Amino acid sequence: MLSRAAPRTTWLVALAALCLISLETGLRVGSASPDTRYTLPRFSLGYFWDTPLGWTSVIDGVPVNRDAVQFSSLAGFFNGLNVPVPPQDNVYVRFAGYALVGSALAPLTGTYASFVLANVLFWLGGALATYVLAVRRTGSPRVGVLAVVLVSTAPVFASLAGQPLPYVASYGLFALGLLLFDQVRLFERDTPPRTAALAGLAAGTSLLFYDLYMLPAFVVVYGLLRRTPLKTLALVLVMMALPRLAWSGYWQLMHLPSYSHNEQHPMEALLGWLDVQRVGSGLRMIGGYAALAAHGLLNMGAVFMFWPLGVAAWEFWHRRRTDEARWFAAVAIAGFAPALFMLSTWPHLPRWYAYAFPAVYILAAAAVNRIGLRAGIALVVAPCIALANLDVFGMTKLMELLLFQPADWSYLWSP
Amino acid sequence: MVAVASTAARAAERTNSWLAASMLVLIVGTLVRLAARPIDIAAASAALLAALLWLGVWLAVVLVSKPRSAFFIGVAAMVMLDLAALSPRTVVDFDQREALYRTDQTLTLPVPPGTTQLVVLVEPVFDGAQPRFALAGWSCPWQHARQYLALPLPSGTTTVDLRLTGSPARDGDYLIVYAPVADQPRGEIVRCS
Repeated sequence: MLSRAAPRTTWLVALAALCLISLETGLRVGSASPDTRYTLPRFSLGYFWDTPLGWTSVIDGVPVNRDAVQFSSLAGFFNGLNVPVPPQDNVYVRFAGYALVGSALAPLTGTYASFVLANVLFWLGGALATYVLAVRRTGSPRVGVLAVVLVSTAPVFASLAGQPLPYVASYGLFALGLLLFDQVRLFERDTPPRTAALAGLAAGTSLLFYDLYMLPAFVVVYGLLRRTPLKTLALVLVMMALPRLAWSGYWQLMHLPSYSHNEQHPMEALLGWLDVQRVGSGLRMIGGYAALAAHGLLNMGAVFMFWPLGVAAWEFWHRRRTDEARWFAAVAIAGFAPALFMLSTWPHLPRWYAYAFPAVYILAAAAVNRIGLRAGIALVVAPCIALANLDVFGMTKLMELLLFQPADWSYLWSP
Repeated sequence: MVAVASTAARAAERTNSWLAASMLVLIVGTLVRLAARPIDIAAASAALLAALLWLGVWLAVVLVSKPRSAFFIGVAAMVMLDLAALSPRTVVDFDQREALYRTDQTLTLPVPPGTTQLVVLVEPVFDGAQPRFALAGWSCPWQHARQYLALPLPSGTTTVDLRLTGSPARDGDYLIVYAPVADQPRGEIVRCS
């Protein structure tokens, strides 16, 4: 059994989560998707592309963020179709797993709807994995249910679920990966190498969907905190890299074209941290790093719309001496660290910070338990849901801040 | 002791049978995928990718559940991955769009050989009864919706440059031009003069 909760409860939780996720997605599909709308001229990022269509394109006649066409084109390429973005211009060949899985239902529903349905299922997977992890970490099914409610209404999922983009799938896969590691007791000293290797291999499939460096980061951080044998950690990491290596190796061996420009981003980020023109020199360097750190904190807050992160930090302080604290800390570090690493060159994308969500939402749900259900719902759950849905009622600034950091901050207080 | 050993042996045999059956699903499913359409590099790449993804899912289920459950999840996963090999349902007959919103912009479109008119799918965006722009070289009746326009051409024309005249604007007076994926328009065609 994955969950210690009764199977009937698990099914009810799954059904409720599916309803919430479908509702949140339904409110934001097509031209209503924040990641499409906010690239149009009248929104914060409109300054970036001086055309009436912003950074949008179409799939099945539905307006989408232009990056999404890369994934629908990859799916079309696999079916031998002429596509708007052929592989030689496609920067996301390494994420082809998402293109293939996301378009699986396209023969029945059309390409756009297929990707959105896949997003909904990955979101549901992430919510249910968080439920099981919450019950295990806190011993409270109530915390599990509250965590599911928070994940199922999480603004970062909602803002991207209507896009054929791999973010929602990667968030879900991260939580499912954590659950897999938990289920096979990967970090125990007596875990057989064979189990560790197979778990690493299975989890490594997620790297065909996105640069999910957060999973290997979790293995390293939690493994070190738990003093897992280094041999086991190394084995898991090597096995985890295999699916991506196999896919990229095949692509190279067959001399298939790809546009691999953005695979250099991590190296550019590393150099960015050392670039004196970017961070300054001497005393100004301290100021430069402080500004970057502040931007990192802003991103962490923005992606959760601030309130649940504060509540989670408060709950973590109360649990800091418990065994589970190491797991929460490892998830948070693994969820934030890769995005913080990219901060030097890519400071404006809070969506990269969302991977800490299992720790943040489980802790926020546990805080509800600590202060009492009624007060907790009034002070934590209801504000979280209200903040996450302000965009539906026309108050879009918070959601804009979640998706893109503006070049000119005055947009926040301009009408 | 003998009875316990025999039960364990039977359980191991059953486990091995489910694992073997799962491998059969992988092989047959991959072959079905390859047979779904002519084998080329795209089809082979998709088959390899599908096999990698299938292995990931199946392994995860084997680790957290029983080989029997992994077999059935594997069958479902393979059905989904094979379904992806079929052609996607066509919802609309265009897959790209471009906005003309300045008079110094030109959009060049190819003209099929031997034709004396070009049919383009456009969507004029404007307030009021008429837009503040026109299409250079043609006079077209504009609607507040997507519409097919037939642009008459001299014979022998190989490309057409679409350009706006008048005073188009980025924020509310512009023309969206769609790039078609189908040869045949799916709607009424309005003729420009």
